[in-house]
Amino acid sequence: MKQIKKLVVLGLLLVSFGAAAQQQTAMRINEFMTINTNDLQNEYGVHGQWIELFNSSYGTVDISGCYLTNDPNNLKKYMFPKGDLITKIKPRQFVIIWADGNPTNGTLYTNFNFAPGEELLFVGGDGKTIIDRVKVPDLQENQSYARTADGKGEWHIAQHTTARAANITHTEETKSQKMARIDPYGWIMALTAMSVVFTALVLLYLIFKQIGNASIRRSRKKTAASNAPEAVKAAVAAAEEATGGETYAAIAMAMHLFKEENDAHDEESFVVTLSHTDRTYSPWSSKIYSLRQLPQIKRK
Amino acid sequence: MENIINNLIQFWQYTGFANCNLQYLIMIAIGILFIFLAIRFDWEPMLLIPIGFGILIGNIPLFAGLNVGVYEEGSVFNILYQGVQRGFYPPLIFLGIGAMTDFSALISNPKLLLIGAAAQFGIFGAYALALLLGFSPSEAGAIGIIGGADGPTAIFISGRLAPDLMGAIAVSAYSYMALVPVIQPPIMRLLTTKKERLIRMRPPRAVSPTEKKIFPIIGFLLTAFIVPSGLPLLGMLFFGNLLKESGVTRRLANTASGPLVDIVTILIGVTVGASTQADQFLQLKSVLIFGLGAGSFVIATFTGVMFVKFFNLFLKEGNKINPLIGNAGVSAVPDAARVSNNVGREYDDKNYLLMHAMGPNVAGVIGSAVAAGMLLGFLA
Repeated sequence: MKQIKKLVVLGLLLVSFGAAAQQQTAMRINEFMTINTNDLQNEYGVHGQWIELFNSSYGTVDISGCYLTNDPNNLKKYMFPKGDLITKIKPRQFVIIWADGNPTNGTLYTNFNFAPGEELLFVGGDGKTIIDRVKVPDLQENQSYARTADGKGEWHIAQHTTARAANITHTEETKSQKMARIDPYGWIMALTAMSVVFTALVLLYLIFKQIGNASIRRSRKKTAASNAPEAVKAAVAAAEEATGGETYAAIAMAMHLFKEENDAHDEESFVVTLSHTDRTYSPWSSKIYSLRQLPQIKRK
Repeated sequence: MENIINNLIQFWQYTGFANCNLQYLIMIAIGILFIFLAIRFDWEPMLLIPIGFGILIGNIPLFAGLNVGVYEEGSVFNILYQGVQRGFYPPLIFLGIGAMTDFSALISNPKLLLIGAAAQFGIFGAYALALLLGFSPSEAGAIGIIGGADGPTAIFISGRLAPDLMGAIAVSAYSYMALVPVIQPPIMRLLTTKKERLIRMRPPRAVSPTEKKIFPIIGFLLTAFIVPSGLPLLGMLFFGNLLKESGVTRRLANTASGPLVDIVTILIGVTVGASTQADQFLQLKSVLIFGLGAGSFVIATFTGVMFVKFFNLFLKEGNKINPLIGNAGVSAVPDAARVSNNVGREYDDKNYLLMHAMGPNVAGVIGSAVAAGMLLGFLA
């Protein structure tokens, strides 16, 4: 009986692995072409209808067992064969499916063609869940219909076909490319950036120099305005001048150490804790030793 | 029976043992080395332990589609990794840094700000070197920021400019931050005379609470107006500091500088570590990044110390700055300041440079955030 249970658990484990491996909902129909006369060729050198699928996830997706169809009433028209590694689509990658009506050509060849007015549907492994669908428009020769951005965005007739490549092709120069062109050795960047860093910090310096001076003047004025005799005022001013942050830091550190060593409290918590300290039992079973205490390396 | 054996064979193929190769083992060894260095030598344990364990997590050989890896959309680690990828962990860490930092040393002697600026040459020196080695300007900018000696900034910038290199850059930045006490002292000794090392600086004046309150507000407005692209880092840094100095938000400051920064440190460490998957990390580029990272630290230390020597030419006797605090311009807080203090005391046991060095040290944090903003402005 136990063995059967173990087998059931093992079986469930394997099934759950199988289920986890499927992220087919991340697949998208990304681009397709209806009339191909001089665009992409398949491995037999034939120009044919093609459909580009895109894995929009960051994990590999196995589309074996999923379906592709041009008939909403027959969702299981073409099933991607199982047991072929090319059905495992890498993260953010594309795969071209040839809709030539001849599935014997290979794994990625469908048993149907499609025409304007029909719909293309990508269906999950259960044969029911429609993961993505798109209406086929009228297209001219070698024109493709594509999403404006890979895996998302509106559909449009693409200016240039981008089979097995990103739909958005940036033709304008990026900032990085521009820098590479105008500043190949990095000197312009270094000098510009350093002058900005210095400007920012010099301005900060100037402002705080003035604020500091104002603060010192204010402090002196305050001392001068007090009713204390002149000699005392002078002594206080001199002491303030001489007493730097180091003195305060030393005093603070001494107080901190005193507090730490003597476990002194500024404010009592007024919480009484009853602590059970009977240690007659084995520490191996004690929560005090096994759960509450964190090991601490003591360094000299 | 045959089915059971087939199932077991299939199960074996799912295991890490079946999918393992030498690259994974090398990365696991690196992760264990990080953990060892942290525990044995106490080198940045708060960072190296999470990163080291993250490396172990990221390098368990997985079969694709299991949806647990850091790069698999929707997995737990992937969700946690969003904080790194989208860059919201680093500003939260800056909030904590702001709430922990006392800018008094800087306010009392604001000319120390300039040392923090000078040390940023490390960033742009490494940028130029990276360009020479064939990296693109975006990648070079991300590598150069290692010279800022500021882990969160390095992650923030590399996430924007070169996400593919982020693992190597982050590990390199944190490794060299841990190695500040090893890298900097020889350069400091080489560049200074004994007379210079013995310079005693005037004790910093006491700073009024009002000045401390004004500093984060003016500091933020000024730097953010100059470099708006550095807003996430500068905004959170100065906001955190205002929480600390305002005197009325003690609970918020305690949370920002305590539990919040601890939580984000754990998350950033473990996810950055997990992002160093063998196939992405073990490349020639990573070795070059490590080399350039070392170069950027050397340049930053060099320019910091040399700038103080140059600055001293214009200062009166009695107001001179000990060039040993020049190294602290890199923003590895407070390690770089501690190095200044330790090297100073080797030559004069009573010469405590720590508080003076904290000035350029915190100025380095501001300077590297401004420099990061510049890189983003030009390259992102």
